[in-house]
Amino acid sequence: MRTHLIVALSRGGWGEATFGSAMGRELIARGDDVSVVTHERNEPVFKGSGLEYCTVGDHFGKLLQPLLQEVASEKRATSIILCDLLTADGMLSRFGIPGEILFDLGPQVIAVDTWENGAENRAIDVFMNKRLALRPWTAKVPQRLGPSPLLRPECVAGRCRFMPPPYTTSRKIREHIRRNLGMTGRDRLVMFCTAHWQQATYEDEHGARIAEYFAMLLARYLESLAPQIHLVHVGPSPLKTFGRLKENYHWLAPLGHKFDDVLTAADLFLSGNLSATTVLHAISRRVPVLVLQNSFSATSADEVYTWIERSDCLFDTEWISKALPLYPFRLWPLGFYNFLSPILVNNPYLSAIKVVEWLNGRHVVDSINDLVYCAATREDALQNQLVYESTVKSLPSPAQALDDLLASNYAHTERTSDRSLQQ
Amino acid sequence: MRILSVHLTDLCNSKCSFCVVGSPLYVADTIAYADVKSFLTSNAHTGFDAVNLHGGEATIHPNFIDTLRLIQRLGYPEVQLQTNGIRLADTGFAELISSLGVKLLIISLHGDTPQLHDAQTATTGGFVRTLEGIRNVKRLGLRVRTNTVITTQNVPRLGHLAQLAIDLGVDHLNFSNIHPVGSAQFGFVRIVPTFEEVRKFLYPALDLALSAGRSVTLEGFPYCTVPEYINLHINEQTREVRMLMRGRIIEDYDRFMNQTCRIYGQPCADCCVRERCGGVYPEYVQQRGWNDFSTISSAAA
Repeated sequence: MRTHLIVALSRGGWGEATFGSAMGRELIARGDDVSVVTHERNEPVFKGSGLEYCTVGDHFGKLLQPLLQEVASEKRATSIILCDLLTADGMLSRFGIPGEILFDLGPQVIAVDTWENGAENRAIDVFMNKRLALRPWTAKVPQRLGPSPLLRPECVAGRCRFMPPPYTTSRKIREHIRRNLGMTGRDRLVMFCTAHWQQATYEDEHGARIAEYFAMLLARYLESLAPQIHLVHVGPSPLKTFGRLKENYHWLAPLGHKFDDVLTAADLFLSGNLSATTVLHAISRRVPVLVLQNSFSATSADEVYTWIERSDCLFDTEWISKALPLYPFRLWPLGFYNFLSPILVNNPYLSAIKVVEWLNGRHVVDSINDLVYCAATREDALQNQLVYESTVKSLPSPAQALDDLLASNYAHTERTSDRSLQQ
Repeated sequence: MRILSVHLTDLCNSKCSFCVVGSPLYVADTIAYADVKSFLTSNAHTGFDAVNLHGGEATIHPNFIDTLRLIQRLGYPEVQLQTNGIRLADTGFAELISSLGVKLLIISLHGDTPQLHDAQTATTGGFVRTLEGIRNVKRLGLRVRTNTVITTQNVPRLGHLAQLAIDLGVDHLNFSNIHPVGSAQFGFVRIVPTFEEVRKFLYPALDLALSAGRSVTLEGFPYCTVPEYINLHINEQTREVRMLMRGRIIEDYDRFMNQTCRIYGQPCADCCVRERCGGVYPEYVQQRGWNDFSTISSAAA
């Protein structure tokens, strides 16, 4: 029997915690032992999961190091699984802990490499002209799990499926939720989710501006839609700018296990995060997905108009003058535009969702209307999701992929030690 | 009073917009009936004054009558039944449960007209049957307490609702503050009134019921939101409730509610009724902040 220490330190979103929880439950189900160390904000993901976990807060600092040592030693962990590498490095760095200490703990270190960063350590574009890079120790983690999505569903070492388990909601439940939101039969429901990091107050002036002004722009688009379209926003707090939608705006705090019930009651899932775990849920639940991104850097309105027809821009002069300068992002408002580009090439993930430019208001509004009202468009979207999901499901599960990684490492170690003996 | 409280089922034949346990969100029951039998059996002859059955809608559980028989056989002095009253419209059913030890019925009444009540319970015809049910059990001499969850929809009609309850011979009127979880979380803005609106219509309704000689209680209201009627808060009563809820035993339900479902904020810091009050539903604060709450001084209390 193996014992795994799963480390999920992200404090900004539940994506990696969700992966860790799913993987942990799979490992337990087949007889392995699992312990989890996670940030306290992820507790709702692990509570009731059946996994043994302990939480760390932002105040932990260097105390995280002895905690990891203690848990790894006490549980006799055979592997430490970081999910994911980027956030693990970020938190260790914030706590002043060198990542190399993980290798000294004894167990084999395996990392979830959500972004296929590999050993090349690509720089991550964040906000306006900022670059984020992982610390060098991360390149020394040879064994990596690569969840698909977002990665391509390819047959390579460590690649594994990351789709939510099947879930069905009854019509009765969907109708109850819609009725409680004040909707009638002709109304349509658009769902929009934000994570903590999307509503954080950034010290970066550009990040704070893009967070505020693009939310404002989205609110304007939604306001221009038919009054039968309601927006349910699930996030850490209401977005004030959506208040202009009046009774058609419904803010809900994070929903836990009821999330999928509300999602399946929606007619469209709208996201400002191309890689959100909530998007995967929408794909899996057959809710059409529209993702907004910005591909443009611009310092003037005229620059924007070189990319998008002026008549398609539904913003006014005041908005653009205050929103400038713009930087590209696929994870609003962080950026990650260029960083994600290589993994989106020939990636069938893009067939399961529709991606539109945030600044092209006409296109955004038309796409929402089309995906909400047009039966043929919706059917196409659902078919594409079905095909995509079946492709992803042909990949090994996270636990199977982990087995393959551990086995290959074992074989490699054996070969190395044989060679040593021969020498 | 020591009460043994049993959540018998998650399912319900109504679909109330404010259902605290979220019954309309369940398609299958999560309750293991063996747990219910075991809970009732193990607590028999340990000094409980009553068994309180609730759900969901306890009367639609396939083992409901068997449960009453079991409770009777185990020697509990009385059964209190929380119900929407729909099945009580059947005279034979009302007589049967009366014969099996049900002595107090806590019946949901959320409007004074079919339109108002049924719109909130999403159950056509429910109001007429509930009223018929109340009349039936009153004819049998049973005690009736109505429970009214105050919503934006029914708040202007609280006086009329109180008058209806009085006319029906209801013994006790309980008014509940919406707990914005379960089904209610989806309709917060639409169904949760402000406390200012509540006070405007609740106070005359309370005065009406009190002047008619009825018992009146308030449930789930932070004391500062209805400060003139602190003595009516259900927390002021001495009771001990041991509850079986989805396989989990809650030793002291009132303490559980206060400690896990309510929070204190800045206005509560120096409030002299802080401990008795129990605090505020955090889901309300998430939506509307702390402005509706204030500190009660010892003089006011």
